[in-house]
Amino acid sequence: MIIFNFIKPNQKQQNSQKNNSNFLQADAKKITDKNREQAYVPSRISECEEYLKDKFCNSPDVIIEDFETKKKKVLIAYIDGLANKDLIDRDIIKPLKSTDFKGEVSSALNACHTISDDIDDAAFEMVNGNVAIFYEKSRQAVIVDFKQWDKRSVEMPDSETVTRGPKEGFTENIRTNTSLIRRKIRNPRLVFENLTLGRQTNTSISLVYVKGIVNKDVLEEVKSRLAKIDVDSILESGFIEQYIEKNSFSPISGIGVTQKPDIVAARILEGRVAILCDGTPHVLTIPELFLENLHSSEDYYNRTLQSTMIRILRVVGLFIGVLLPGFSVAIITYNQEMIPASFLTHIITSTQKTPLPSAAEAFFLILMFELLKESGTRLPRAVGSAITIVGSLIIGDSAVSAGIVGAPMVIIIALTAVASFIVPNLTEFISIYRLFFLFLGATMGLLGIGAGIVIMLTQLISTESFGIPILSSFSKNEIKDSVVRFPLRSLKYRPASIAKDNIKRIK
Amino acid sequence: MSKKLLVILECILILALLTGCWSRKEPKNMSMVNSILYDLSPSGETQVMIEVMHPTGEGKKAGGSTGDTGSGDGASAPMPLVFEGKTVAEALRNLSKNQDKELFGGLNQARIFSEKLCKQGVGPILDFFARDHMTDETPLMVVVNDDNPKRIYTCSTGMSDMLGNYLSSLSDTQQKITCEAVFVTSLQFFKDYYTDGQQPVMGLVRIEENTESTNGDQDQPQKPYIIYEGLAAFKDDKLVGYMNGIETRDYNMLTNNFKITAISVPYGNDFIAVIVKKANSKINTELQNEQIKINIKIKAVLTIIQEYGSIDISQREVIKQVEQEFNEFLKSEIEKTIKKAQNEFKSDIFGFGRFFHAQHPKEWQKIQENWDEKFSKAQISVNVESSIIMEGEIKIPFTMEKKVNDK
Repeated sequence: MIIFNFIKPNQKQQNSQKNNSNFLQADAKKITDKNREQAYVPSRISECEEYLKDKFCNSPDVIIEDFETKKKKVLIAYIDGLANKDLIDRDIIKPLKSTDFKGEVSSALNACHTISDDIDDAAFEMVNGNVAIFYEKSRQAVIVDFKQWDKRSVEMPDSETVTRGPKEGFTENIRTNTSLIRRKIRNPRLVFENLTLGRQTNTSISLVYVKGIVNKDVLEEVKSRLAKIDVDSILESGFIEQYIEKNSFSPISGIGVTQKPDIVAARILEGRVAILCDGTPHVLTIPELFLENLHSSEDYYNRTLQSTMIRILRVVGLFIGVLLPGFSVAIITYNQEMIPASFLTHIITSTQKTPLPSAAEAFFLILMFELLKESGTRLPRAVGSAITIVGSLIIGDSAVSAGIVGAPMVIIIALTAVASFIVPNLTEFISIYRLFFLFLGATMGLLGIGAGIVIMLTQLISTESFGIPILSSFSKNEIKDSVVRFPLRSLKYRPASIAKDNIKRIK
Repeated sequence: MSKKLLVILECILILALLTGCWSRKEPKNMSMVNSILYDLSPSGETQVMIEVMHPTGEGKKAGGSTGDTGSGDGASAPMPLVFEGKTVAEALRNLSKNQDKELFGGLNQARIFSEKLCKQGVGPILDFFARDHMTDETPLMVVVNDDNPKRIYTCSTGMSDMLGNYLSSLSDTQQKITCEAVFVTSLQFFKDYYTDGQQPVMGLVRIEENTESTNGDQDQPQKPYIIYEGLAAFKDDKLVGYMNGIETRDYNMLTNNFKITAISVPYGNDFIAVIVKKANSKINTELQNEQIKINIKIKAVLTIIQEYGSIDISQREVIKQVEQEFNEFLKSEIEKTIKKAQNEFKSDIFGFGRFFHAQHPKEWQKIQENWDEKFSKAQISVNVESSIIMEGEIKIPFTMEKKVNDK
């Protein structure tokens, strides 16, 4: 099914228009009490207190305290750890308790605020870190934004490291992330659209694009797919990625992931849409063309020749990573006459006392490599390096001297592994197709490899990312920034398939 | 769903139609054939000797020798066994009864033929090569000019570990550095054989006994060695004679396979050694009163490499004279070579017939049948033009410079 998804006819674009109207009013705001029809705030603050305590189940981190002022009884409610207490003391309690207080709460506060007449709404603001103020007989809640909690500062991301280019990466805080993007694109037409997803988690999601550049069809499609999400939790942007992608069993998602604001800025300036998700530094960019997995932000910061050379190298690496094990097994077991005589002699000599056939050797080594890779990433860093050293020694040397595998196959798989690291974005694609080609090469020889290439290309050609064919980088208008990178001066146009409406960069 | 299924079925069907090499073979279960010798038994059956690589990577040393692949240590290498059969296939089948691994001929380096077999005709064996899909067209074709051709497997193999490798690199090198040998692969032989107006040739090796003992303290008899020189001329599939090194050099010039060689040209009482850097031949054929005339023009580019002192080659006229001498010298050599092919072989190994075919297609139809006869009676005229482009790094001869300075 993974391979043959291209056979599937295009599904109907259903209901995409219908859902857009209530897009911004995602239905996650009702915490409990669905039966209540009308919004209201009790007029007595003791009732308010009771209601809130009941709602938060007497949770100790919810602070609800009432106090007397000169004129009115006031109730203040917030969640400990999410709101700044110093500011609450200085800008809410102090002015209300002062002798100058004339009875009008909203005008007495030293802070920006909003008024709400729904107590559930106020409770929702509280879980977002805001402060809710109730006072006697007002039937209103004043909401003050004093959010403050512990968060990671802007740091260098652990992946996508560059030698040239900005080092800052996104953090888990969506507000920080939006500001990082806003700082890159100082243009009022940069648009953030907020929504909340996840019935339990109420995660803030932000859609980012530049108005006038963005591909409207893609934007509509993204919005309609987002509107269809109705789940209990969104804990990472990966959840969104998997809910909005079309084919879950394709090795290519058509959605890019990055941790770096400069990459997001470059992408949305090409007409793409980015999705920020609170609680994760990984930002989605839509659509993602196939060749962009082989690009790096550094390609644009470095000079043309170097970038082009490295891009070609990545394409070579991709082909080695996908094809080499299958191709070499096919040649070794079916077409020995294609191997130079001296090397075939070496293969015969080194495999003389090994128990496994060549295909099984290749599979065994790939398995070892995947095991090592996985154990290296999951373990604590100190142990991880030890595992890698032991593992690589076992793979590289002992496996050969113990007579489990032949040395030529070790070299082939090692080369494959190194080559596949050159395109980290396509790890999934490479490792799945690598096994596919190994199977074909072992059972059908070069014929199988040829058939596999046709199948792979057919799939790539027929895959679309939000309506845009992922191989459109090879079209005439976009070839300047594909496998090669022309000088920046000649890249006058945005990718034509993505920025359909506004192709010229300087507009 | 049914549509999907159909497409999948279609794919499988297409794969089934495109069957290629389906026989999966693990390299470790193969033994690589390095060279094959074809001979005739006294009773007239085909004999086959086969040299295979031993999987320990130590050449054909299967007989329990423990030494490494050093060149001095090959004496313990056993001779490959000889197998007989009425046909090649039968001989190979008999041979396989002795093998614990599957024979793999895809990377065979050399096919060696005995003189006896070649004189009887190699046609049936070549038919086997051409017919069998597992045999390759790349191996070298050589004839052993020796009474006991099987002796070749006892010869020293130079820097290589196996005879097949040795012969193939030997022929390749020889054609590049001396041009006194030919490098004929099976494919080339087939081409020459099938071309109208061209007769095939094969490479030629002879075995020399090593009589000089290099170390006194070694009782071990020195191994015989191989000289790769000359060519074996064929008429159709039968051997008709051999050419020596000098004649082979002329053969290479005439067939435009010439790379580089050194020639000593007599000049007065002394010699001048020149390096022929390029030699291109142009062949023109004429038909006059049933008599075939073949005009050969050879253009050569020379550099002087050694000179015996009596000639002052710093002068332009002397250079001209040297060129003249060289032209005369080469002309007579080439004429002798062609005469040999005409009179002794009666076989057009130079492929003059091809040129006649191209230049006189209508007349060719008439004489095609007995071209070799016509060729042996053809009138040959050779014209050599040469130009010396370099006199080397010194101008005045080394011995003469002293005298010039003394004056």
